[in-house]
Amino acid sequence: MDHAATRHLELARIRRFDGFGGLSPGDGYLFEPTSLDELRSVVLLAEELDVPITLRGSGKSYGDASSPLESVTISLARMNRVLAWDKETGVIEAEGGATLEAIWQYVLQDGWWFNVVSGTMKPTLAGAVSTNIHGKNNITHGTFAEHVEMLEIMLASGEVRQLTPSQPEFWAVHGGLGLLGMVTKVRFRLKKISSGNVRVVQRRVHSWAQQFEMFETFGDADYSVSWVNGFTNGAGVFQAAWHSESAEPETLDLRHQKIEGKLAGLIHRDTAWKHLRRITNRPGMKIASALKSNAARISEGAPKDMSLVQYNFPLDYLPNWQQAYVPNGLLQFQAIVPAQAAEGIFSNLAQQWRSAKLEPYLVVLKKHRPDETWLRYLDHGYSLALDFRQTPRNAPALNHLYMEMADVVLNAGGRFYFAKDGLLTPEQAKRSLGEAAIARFTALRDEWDPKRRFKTQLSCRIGLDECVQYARP
Amino acid sequence: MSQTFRTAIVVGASSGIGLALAEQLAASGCRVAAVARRKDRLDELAARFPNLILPFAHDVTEFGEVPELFQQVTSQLGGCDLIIYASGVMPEVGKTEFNTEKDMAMINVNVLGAIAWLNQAAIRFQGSQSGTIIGIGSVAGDRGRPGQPVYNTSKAALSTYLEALRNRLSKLGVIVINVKPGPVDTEMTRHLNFKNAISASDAAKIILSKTSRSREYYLEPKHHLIFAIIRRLPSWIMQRLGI
Repeated sequence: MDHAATRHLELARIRRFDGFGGLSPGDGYLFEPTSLDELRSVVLLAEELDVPITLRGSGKSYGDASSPLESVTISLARMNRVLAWDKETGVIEAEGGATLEAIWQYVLQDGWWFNVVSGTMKPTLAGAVSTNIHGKNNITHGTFAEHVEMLEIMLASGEVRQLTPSQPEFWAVHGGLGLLGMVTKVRFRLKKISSGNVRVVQRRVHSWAQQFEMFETFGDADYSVSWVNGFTNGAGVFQAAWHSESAEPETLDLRHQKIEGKLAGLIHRDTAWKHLRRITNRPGMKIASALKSNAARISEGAPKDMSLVQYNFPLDYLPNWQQAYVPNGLLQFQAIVPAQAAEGIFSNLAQQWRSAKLEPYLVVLKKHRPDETWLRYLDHGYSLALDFRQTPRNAPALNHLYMEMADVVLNAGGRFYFAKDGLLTPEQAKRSLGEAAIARFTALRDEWDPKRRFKTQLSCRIGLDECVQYARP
Repeated sequence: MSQTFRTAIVVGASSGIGLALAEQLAASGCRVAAVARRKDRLDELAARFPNLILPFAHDVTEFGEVPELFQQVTSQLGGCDLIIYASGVMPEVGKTEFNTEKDMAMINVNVLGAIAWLNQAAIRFQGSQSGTIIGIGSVAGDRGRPGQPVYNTSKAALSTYLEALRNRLSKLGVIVINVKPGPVDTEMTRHLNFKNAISASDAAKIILSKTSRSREYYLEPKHHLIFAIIRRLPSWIMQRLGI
């Protein structure tokens, strides 16, 4: 890569990047190195030209966590090899650009699965580390960080370091929002399975109190999650799942995991979002939510087997479903609140969104335990993830609602997950993360990246960086 | 304004339509890079819109400076959603005068400067598959007329260039617009003593209200009919009319 000879970046590298929600566009100069040496040359080029670097994984964070600001934008998509795999111990080592999808396709036939996955299989390992992903088993298995044995990171100087859980910085890079360096390699543990299926049971619930009871009742489940009807105050459908314990080798075949077929035998999955768009509005979603509740009435009796892929990656079930949220996009809000306060807070939030007639079209409730990262976002308690459709007309009211709800959460000692936020202010971010955590993280950045080479729109928005050129309408 | 822009570059922002466009964009909350030769005027403009207008002194005939400057501008601006090329010169030309120096100045500013800036924007928008390009053309580019042969030529060239950009980039989601004003009251046209000229401010208002799709249009609705006829007149009639 010979770019250093020019005094400016090659304009043809410019690309438009956006968050998954479609509300955080930004332009950056795309670089896709294939080796550590190439990666280092890009980092040094940015240093020479004094341009910020934004790290980009698969772009599945909902907001601006990987949105650039005229930055050198580094994707590790071509540094995606599996480097080592021990099918006896279930430890795998891969480059940072390898996706969760590539990993499960590599290991499943040997009878292994992730300890922790997000709701989509698309994130890269570097992205999974940087946002410290969690799944529907957070209460039993923690976050992604807890299963990593070693990670390799390239700093702003081009220096490469390997970190293990015994080093404090390991816990800063996890959940570090890509602001400390590029995660070029990850070695992590998988869990042994004998079947490619999970057994799922569903229960209809009618209140927040019942929701929390379900998480206690099904405390032995491998996975637990609840869907809440946003047009009610706490009613919904709780779901618990267990790995099948019987040996079912045929279900470990990749063909068994493939999501295929038409929806209701009629609609191609790839184009289903176009139909979904027609009902992604208040009346449409109100009816759809009522139908979903009623459908659970039929299915709640009998357990149902689902493939691991279908169960764990619901966000991949309908490709491009977020396009249904156009013209503006999908604004997501995920708050984690202490268990004892959860019922009151969630009820308060539901009253706020319902009285504003700005109901979220998807509401997901999960149970959590604290994570150990420096920029910790989890706690003993419950999280509520809300998907709002933003339109040109409702944007001011929706933004107002978002801020009001955020203050309710923060006043109760709650926290936010920044991979799923797009609006919090520096003051709110400080309350969520805690001043001490920010100071500790900043001190490490001062040491590793004193010139603040690594920046994102998120780091500017929440006040971790000063960005004079960052403009918002 | 039909569309909200977060960041814009206005080349030729020190006077006339360019100045009015920069002012109106900044007033809407858009961050504007104001590019022009006259630094004192840019500084005065920037002082009126702190943090919203960023001044960049530049002579558009210094074509070689543009690639690096364009990147500096977009870096400081934090992006570029819109670029407007509004620089233009129209020196007084006598009815029997053929002055290559004046003619070259018009070609350099009105055509080559536009190509230098808009090519950069085109490369960028081709990559980002977004963005809006507006060129300030003129009704004068529709026909070769005796009064301003090379001004006509320059605006015709700009119009053809913008049409080519539109045909290349529209399919990628980039909007390319050629606006063709008639008489507008600006410093450049003051020596022509136009009657019924519209103000630069009104011209800017119309331009910013029509940014939702790629097109070429006349600033004043009546010109659509008038110039539809003029464009179709046989050359021998144009000669006789002497307009």
